[in-house]
Amino acid sequence: MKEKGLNKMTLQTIAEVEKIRHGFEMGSQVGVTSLGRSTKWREDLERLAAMQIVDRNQTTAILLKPESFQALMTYLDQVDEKLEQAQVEALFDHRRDTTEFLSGEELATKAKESFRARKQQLRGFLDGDK
Amino acid sequence: MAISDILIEEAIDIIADIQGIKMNQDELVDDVILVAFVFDEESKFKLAINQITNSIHQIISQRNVGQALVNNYEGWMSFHFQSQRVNGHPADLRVVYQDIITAIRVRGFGHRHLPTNIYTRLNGR
Repeated sequence: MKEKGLNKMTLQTIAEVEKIRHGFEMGSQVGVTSLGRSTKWREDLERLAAMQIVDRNQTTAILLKPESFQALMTYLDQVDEKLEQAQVEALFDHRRDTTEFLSGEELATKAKESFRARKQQLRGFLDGDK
Repeated sequence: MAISDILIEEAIDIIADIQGIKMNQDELVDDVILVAFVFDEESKFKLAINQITNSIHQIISQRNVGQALVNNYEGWMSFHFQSQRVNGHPADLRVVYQDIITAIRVRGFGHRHLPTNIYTRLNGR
């Protein structure tokens, strides 16, 4: 939708996000107490992109490299834009033949006539078609 | 509890009454029905219609609000805003419009994440 958005998602972004989507690799767990005591996890994180922080054998948090987090946000924005584009296209596609645009009293009157004429169908959609 | 016919007609009147918009009558009805479909509690429906009305007023007074659509939709804009005025609430509503100087032409408004076949389902074809 936004032109600049299309250039934002680089191959680097995709690679970072793919790492996260593939799940956790071996050695990706770090104990919550080791976080403060050791710096080895920093090297691991650099390699793995995402790690599980474990407290008494339970995964309590997920650790992401800042670049990975940023890539994830960019990726979500991009997916959101694609969804937006699909939605807007569906809107325009369905209404492509419309030529009549009204305003004020005329719009109100004709819209209410339109509603009353189609009431059974529209109420059916609202009340039954959930 | 579904939204009553009276409330739907009230919403149609409120939006049609905005000075400076042009919209197709059938599409105005369809969009109000879709808002009622998504916000099926009276209070939320009224709030959403209120937010849509406020946003259209904002577009008319400021123009050039929101994102410009590209490719086949040159000249059209999409403006996103919240259905509920709550901090952190997502901008879940949109108005798609075109500035035609004397007025704004509204292509559609409503919830941003509807199934893409919703217009077909709405009209039963």
